[in-house]
Amino acid sequence: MIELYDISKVFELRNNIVSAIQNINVKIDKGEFVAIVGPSGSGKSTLLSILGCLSLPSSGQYVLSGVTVSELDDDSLAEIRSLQIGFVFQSYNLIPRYSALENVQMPMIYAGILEEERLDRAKLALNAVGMSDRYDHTPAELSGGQQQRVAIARAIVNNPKLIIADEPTGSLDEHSTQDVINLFQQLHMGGRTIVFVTHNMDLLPYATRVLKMEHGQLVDA
Amino acid sequence: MRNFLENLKQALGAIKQNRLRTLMSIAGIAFGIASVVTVGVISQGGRDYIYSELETYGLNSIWVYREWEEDNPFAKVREGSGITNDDYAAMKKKICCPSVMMFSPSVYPEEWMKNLRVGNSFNNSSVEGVDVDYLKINNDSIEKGRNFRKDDIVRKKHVAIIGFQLKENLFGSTNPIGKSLHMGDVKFTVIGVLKFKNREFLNAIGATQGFEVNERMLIPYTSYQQIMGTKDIHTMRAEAMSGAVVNKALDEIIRLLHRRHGNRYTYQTESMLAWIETTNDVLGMVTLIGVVSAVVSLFVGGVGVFNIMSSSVIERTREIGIRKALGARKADIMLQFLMESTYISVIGGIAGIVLSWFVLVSLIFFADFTISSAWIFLSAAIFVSTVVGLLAGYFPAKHAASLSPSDALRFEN
Repeated sequence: MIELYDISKVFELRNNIVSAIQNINVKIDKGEFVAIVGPSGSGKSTLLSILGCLSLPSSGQYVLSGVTVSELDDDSLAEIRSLQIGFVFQSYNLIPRYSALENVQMPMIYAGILEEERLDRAKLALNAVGMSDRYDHTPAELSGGQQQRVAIARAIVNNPKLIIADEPTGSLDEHSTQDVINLFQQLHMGGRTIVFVTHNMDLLPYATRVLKMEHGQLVDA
Repeated sequence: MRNFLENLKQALGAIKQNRLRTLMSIAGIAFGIASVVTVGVISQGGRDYIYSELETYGLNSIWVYREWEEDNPFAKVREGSGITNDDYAAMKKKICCPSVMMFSPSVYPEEWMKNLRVGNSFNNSSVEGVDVDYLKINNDSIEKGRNFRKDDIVRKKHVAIIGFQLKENLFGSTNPIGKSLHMGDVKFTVIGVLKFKNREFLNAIGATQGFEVNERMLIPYTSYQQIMGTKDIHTMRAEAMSGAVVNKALDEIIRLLHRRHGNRYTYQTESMLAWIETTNDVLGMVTLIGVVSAVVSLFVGGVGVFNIMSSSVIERTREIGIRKALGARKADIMLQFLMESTYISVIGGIAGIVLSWFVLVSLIFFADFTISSAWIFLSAAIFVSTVVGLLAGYFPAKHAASLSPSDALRFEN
C-alpha cells in the first residue's frame, strides 16, 4: 500500500538548510495499524505530512497504491487527499463557524458530491462515531473528545483507504482517549490502513507495528 | 448554490472581523459607484434636456443671410438683402444643392416686432413670412388648425399661424381658427395654432435674446413681400440632409448665391453645429469630473478590499490548510476568496446605487429632471463593483491558493 524509497526532506530556514528526515525506507501493507513514535523534533510530523500527501519529499520516491505520489502536481495531490486519505489532528482542526454536520460534509464538497447525498453520508458518519445527537452543534459547543469524534467522522466520510492521524489523543483525557482508540480499532477491523503519531505509550499495544524515529531516521523499535 | 451561500456567510464573517476597515472600503466603493451612476444619469438626462430644446430649432437647421457690415467702410453700400425669389427658385432645383432636404424663405422687416390686435387685446409679436416647409425645418407642429398650403403662398393669402402663447393672449380660451387678427391695417385670418415650445434653459442662459418663441406669428412670405413692397428674402432657412452634411449644405447655398450675384454680397451662415458642440463639451466635462472622482474612490475602496482580503487570508491560514487537507484544489481556495472580495465590493456597489438614488430623487424633486436609461447605469454599477472586487481580491486569493497545506496547518494564530 505504502512504499517509501530513500525519502529525505530538507527545509530552508534563513539561508540554512535544515534536514528534517533522511533516507527513510519503509513499506506499509494494506490494513496495517502503524504507530510512529520518537522524541520531539525527530521528524515524525514531517514523515506523516509526506505520507498524507500534504508535502512532497525533497528526494526519494513515495508510491501510494501503485501511484508514484512524489511526482504529482498540486491538483493531483489534492485529489488523492480528497479520495484516498482521511486526516485526524491533535487540535481537531474543525472549522469553528460550521456545525458538526457541515464540518463532516466538507471533504465531500471538494469531492464534488451533491448535497442530498452529502447530508445522508455525513449523518451516517456522525452516527458511526456516536454523535447522532450533535448534528447542529458548533465545535465550541462540543467537548474535546466530541470534537475529535466529529473530526474522525470527517476523516472517514469519503471512505479513504488510508487514515493519517497526528497525535489524535494528545489533547484528550483518559476517557476520550479510550473512545478514540476504540474508533480506530473499529476502522482497523474494517480493513483500513492507519498510520498515527503518538507520545502515549499506552496506545502502542493496539498498533500492529511501531516505527521509531530518531534524528530524522527510522531506528529499530 | 450552496457554495454561494457558504461564501456569502464567510464574507459576512470577514466583515464582522474587520468592521471599520470593511466599512471604509465599502464606503469608498459606494462613493465611486454613486459618482458613476449619478454623473452618468445627470449627464444623460442633461443631454436629453438640452437636446430637446435645441431640437426646437431643428438640429439640422441652417440659416443664410446677408452680411451687412462691409469690410471696406468706403464701399458703396448696396441695396437689397442679397437673396431674391429667383434665387429661391434656383435653389429648389435639385441640381443646386444635393445636401439640402428643403428650403423656406424667411421674410421680415427691419422692425420685426409688430403690434397685433384682436378686438381690444394687443400683443407685441414677431411676424415672419415663410413657405410651406418652414414648419418641418423649424421642428414646429400644429396644435390646432392647419399648415399653409401651396395655394396660400401662390395667391398671397392673408392667413396666419400663431404661437401658442399668442393665441392665449389674444383669444383666451376661445377657438381662434377662422377668426381675424389685425397687424396695423392689415387683416389676417387665423388658420393654425403652433404647439408650445419649451426653451426654458436656452432662455435662462440668454441664448434666445428675449425672442418669445410661443408668441410668433407666421404668414405666407409672398403676402409679407407684397405688404412690404419687396422681392427680397431676408434669411434663407433650410434643413440639411443630415447632421454630417450641414457645412456642405451651407457651402452649396453660398456658392449658388455668389454665382448668381457675381460675388456682390457677402453672406453670414449659422447652424446648430456650434450649439451641439458646446453642449457636448460641457457634458463631456461633467462626465470627466465624474469619471475622475469615480476612479479615485474606486481605487481607494479597492485598496481597502485588498487590505481586508490580505489580512483575512493571514488570519485564516489554518483554515486554508484544513481545506487543502480535506481535498480543496488551488482553484477552490482561489474561488472562495475571490467570491468574498466580490461580495464586499458588490455590497459597496449596492450602497452606492442607494446613495445615488437619494441624490437623483432630490434632483428630480428640486429640478425638472427626468431619468432616462437608468438601468444601464445600474448594470454598469454592478459590473464595475464586481470587477473591482475581482481585481482587489486577486492577489490575496492567489496567495491563499498557493499556500502549502503542511505549512498552513502548522500556522498558529
